Amino acid sequence: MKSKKRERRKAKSGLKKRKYTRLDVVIFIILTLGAVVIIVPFWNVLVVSFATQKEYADNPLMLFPGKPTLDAYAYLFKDGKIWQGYINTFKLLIMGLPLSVFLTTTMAYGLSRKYFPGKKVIMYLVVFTMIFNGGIVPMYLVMRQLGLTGSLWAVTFSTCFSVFNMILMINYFQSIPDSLIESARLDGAGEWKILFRIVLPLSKPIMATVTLFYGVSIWNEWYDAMIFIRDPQKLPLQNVLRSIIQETEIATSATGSIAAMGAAQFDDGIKMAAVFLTMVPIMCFYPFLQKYFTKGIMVGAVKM
Amino acid sequence: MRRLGKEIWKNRAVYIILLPGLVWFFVFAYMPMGGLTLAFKEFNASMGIWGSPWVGFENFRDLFHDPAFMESVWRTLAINIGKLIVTFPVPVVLALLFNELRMRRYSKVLQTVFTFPNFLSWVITSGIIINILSNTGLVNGIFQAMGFDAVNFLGSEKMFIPMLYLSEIWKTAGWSAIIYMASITGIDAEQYEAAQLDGASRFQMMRYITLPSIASTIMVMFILAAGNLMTSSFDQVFNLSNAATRDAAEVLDMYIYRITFQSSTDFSFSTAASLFRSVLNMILLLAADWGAKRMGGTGLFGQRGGGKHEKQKA
Amino acid sequence: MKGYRKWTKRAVSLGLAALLTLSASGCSGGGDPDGGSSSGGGDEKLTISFGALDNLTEEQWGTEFHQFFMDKFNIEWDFNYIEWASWDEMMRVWINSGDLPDVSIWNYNYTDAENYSKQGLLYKFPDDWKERWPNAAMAYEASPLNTQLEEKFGGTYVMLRPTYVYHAQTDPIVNQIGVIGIRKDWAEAVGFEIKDAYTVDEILEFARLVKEQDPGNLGSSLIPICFDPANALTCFVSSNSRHSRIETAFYKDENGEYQWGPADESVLETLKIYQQAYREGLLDPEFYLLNDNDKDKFYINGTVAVYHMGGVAEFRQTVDTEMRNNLRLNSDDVVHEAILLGNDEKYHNIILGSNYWSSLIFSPDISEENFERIMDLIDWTCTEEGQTICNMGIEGVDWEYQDGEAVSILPEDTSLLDKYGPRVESVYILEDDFAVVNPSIKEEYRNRMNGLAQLKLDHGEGKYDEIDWDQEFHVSRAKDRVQFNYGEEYANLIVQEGDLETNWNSWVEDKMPLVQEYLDELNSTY
Repeated sequence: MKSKKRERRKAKSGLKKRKYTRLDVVIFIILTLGAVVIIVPFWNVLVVSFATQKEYADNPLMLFPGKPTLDAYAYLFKDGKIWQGYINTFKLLIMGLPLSVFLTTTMAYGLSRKYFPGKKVIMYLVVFTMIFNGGIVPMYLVMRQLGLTGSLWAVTFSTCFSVFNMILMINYFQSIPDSLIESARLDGAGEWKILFRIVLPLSKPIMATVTLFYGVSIWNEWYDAMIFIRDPQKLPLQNVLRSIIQETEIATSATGSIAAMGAAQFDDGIKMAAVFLTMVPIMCFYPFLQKYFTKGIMVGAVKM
Repeated sequence: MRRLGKEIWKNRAVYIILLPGLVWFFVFAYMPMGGLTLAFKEFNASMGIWGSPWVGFENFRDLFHDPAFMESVWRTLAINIGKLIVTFPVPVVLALLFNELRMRRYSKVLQTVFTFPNFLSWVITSGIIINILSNTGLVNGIFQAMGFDAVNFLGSEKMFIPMLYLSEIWKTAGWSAIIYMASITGIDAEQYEAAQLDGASRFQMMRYITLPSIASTIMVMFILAAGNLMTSSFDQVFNLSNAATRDAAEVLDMYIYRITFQSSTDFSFSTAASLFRSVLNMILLLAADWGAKRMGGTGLFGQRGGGKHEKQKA
Repeated sequence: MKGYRKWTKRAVSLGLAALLTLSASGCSGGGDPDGGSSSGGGDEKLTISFGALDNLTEEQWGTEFHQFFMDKFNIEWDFNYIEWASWDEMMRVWINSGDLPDVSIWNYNYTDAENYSKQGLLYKFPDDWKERWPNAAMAYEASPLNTQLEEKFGGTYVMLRPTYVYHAQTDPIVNQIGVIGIRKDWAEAVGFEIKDAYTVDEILEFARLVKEQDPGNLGSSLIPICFDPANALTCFVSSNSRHSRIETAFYKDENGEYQWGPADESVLETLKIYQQAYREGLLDPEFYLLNDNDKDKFYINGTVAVYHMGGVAEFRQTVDTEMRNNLRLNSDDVVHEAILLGNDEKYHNIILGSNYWSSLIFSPDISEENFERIMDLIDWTCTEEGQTICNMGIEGVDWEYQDGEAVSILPEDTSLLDKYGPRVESVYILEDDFAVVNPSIKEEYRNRMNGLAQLKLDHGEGKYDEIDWDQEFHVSRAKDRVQFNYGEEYANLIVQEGDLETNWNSWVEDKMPLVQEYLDELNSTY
């Protein structure tokens, strides 16, 4: 596998020696344009969040606000809900991430074993839940019996397992040579020891990928929180953002603080400032973590 | 029998490892599963799910009697077939382009840009999209600067479906391309070297080496996408639709959401609709699995679109 | 005169309380506002869970107003905030899974109410509750539908929240829709006559003039008419046709046969006006994205010429405060309010017999102490004194008695909302009632709104429609299937391309199979 990679790189460097052709230019332009189409909407979000309403209405095409204002951010800061949302989302991450990774790893490792009685049944039962579910009220009833409604744990428990991530992991675990595991077993290692001492150290890429996938999906979670959370102080970030974007609330709570600021309210600015604040962490981390996202997926795909 | 017992005992450690996950599945997936029986009952909350009286197929009879239901089924199919045609080729093309892009540093940067939107929620994405497509937004600003009239993107039923496709491409195409890029990485380099020696142009290499080599991946991905024909991205439709586009937006998932929460029907009726949706999905997925295996892939559960795990709402 | 009326009312309620204390000693409640048996310190502190549509910050909970109620009734709130946008969803999940808070605000509809009460999903009030909490009962009976529901269900399960109890604007009571606010300064600038009542056509003419001349120099941000789909239904459709009501789209024709309003030609005519307004650019080009909150564009952004204000003096007061704070404008110079007539110069939006908005429901599992404690609170808020505190704040801090009259001493640039946040303890009687007499609202605004309400009656058709109880209490799947959101349906028709009449016809045809089924059901039953 490694030698192949080297060969490939050689081939590539062979290609590199050639001059840039018209085809290269075309490809460069197409991809750059594509990137611009992706970036511009983000940039526009920033512009709207920093512009005054009048300025933006006069010139929606501007690339930089002439008189940038922090009013929208000041409003959100004063309002405070978005920070509370941040805290709650971090709580969800701290509670959910270890649990999700632990459950997925153990399930995936168990199901990646070649044979044991009941393996097929378990696999079918697990996959069945990808297609069928009992519905929201039965789920709610279960949470209620467990006394979890209204608590962030309800959100954590209802969303902490993704069969998709488990399948990714099973695929990876199965690619680990059996001989390694067998020899460890002959040395008298138990399954837990094999999992933690042998399999996991070899599975860092997939662990990173799955952890990140879970992290992102927890960050983006809103539906279950909408159903299960009752205390506004406990709503995660996405729900706060939703209520700001849909203006379900801004009118009543805004009156006070906006009036105190003496500025005309600019709804779009506040909305876009909220959008920006909600995605800024992903934006900051993603470029550095991107390779872990892609690696795991690639590992799965190469097996085809 | 004794052998089975022996096997189980031999593998006891595996069962212990599986136990935490199995407990989760039992409590949070299978305990609520009893709710499926509501499809054949008339839900009476005070009697509970198990105590509610059976009514046979009455809920399904009512369901098929509701024209909005069948309409939403056909609409879902039509939208998703269109989506398959419009959005499916984009990641393939992107992967091919990326493979041909020779500036490696720049390529890495572009990949980051292209794959990033996939990790944003639809709540954020729809906020961004509504912002640029609104009447006073950027796109209409450009139109007006070019002397055209402003277009009502958000309120037009005609524009709604194209908007779904385009926003889908904007958000996910880059990420979906990763699968194909991975599979291109796996192509034997000797093939290219040989072709190069024969004086093949880069376009020819792309056409006769790269594309055929990833054809099986493309086929498998296509079949898998076909397996999802009845699944719509609920988050996307829910967050992008509004009063003016409500009819065009009523896909099956939206219909189920509406009858679950917004009209005066009992839960058994909406459970019947969800069950129907699940059975349809299962049939489509099994067919896709069968197709994928025939194509020589690892089948349905080998891999799926990549971090794009849509949960069914309601 | 007013002072006298107040005094007698108070005397009556005090007398009643005394009587009750005698007849039902030991049970809590009554009108005695201070130190009654209900709020003695000896009671243990109870935690009451409450599902409501308002959201308060920690800081707001800590303010004097909210503390006052917690101390007075020795309670602590376990507050369950419901987002407006997911109100129906939340309540449905909570009710069906038996997880209701002790008390919640619920968007009443009959079909669900019947279902829920039959299944025991709502708390059934003790038979003697009206004697025990007479003030609450008095407010409860102000909405005639409450009594009807009680008969239907064999007891009280739902408390519809009355709009008017003590201070009806008019007799008979009319609802508050159909009052618009317009920019007076712009009307003067474009030479548009200031009147108390406009027809829809006249308002369109005004919008047209404003759009042409742009007296506010707003350019592209000008919105001549700011209606969301629901307001557009009220102002374009219902104001012109009696056959498409906000309350119901079904009516009985002269032959006693039920008909579907939206299929009537008169509705098509109103839709034509509506679409014309849209196509001429008199409405916000994206009005379908708006919701009721967007009316603040009138007084916060100052970009709107006409909007649906609603005939509540408090709304007018909000306009005044917000315009001063945000636009540095004196609203008395720039705002004019009027009622909106149909093009036949008649006011059609009158339907008698409702007098409620939303309802209170209680958890079937509520403990007896909690129920009694909440009812004590509700009962007290239904007294005159309770109403005064709920709506004016703390005596001596926000208002005081001057010559027997409650007078607001709140500085002009603050409002109770700024100071305390939403006053959620005003659980039962809606604010509208007290707004009619609320001294912290400028008297001229109150008189103006009451005058406009009377004007609606004067422009009415002489005989009024009443709620059709047969229809209201009809329960069937056929009925469930015809619960359309007409605001959205019409908005959808309006923005569709092509000929409106053709679109309308195919829309009617589309809905007709379901509608016909319901019509047949109604016609064969009643």
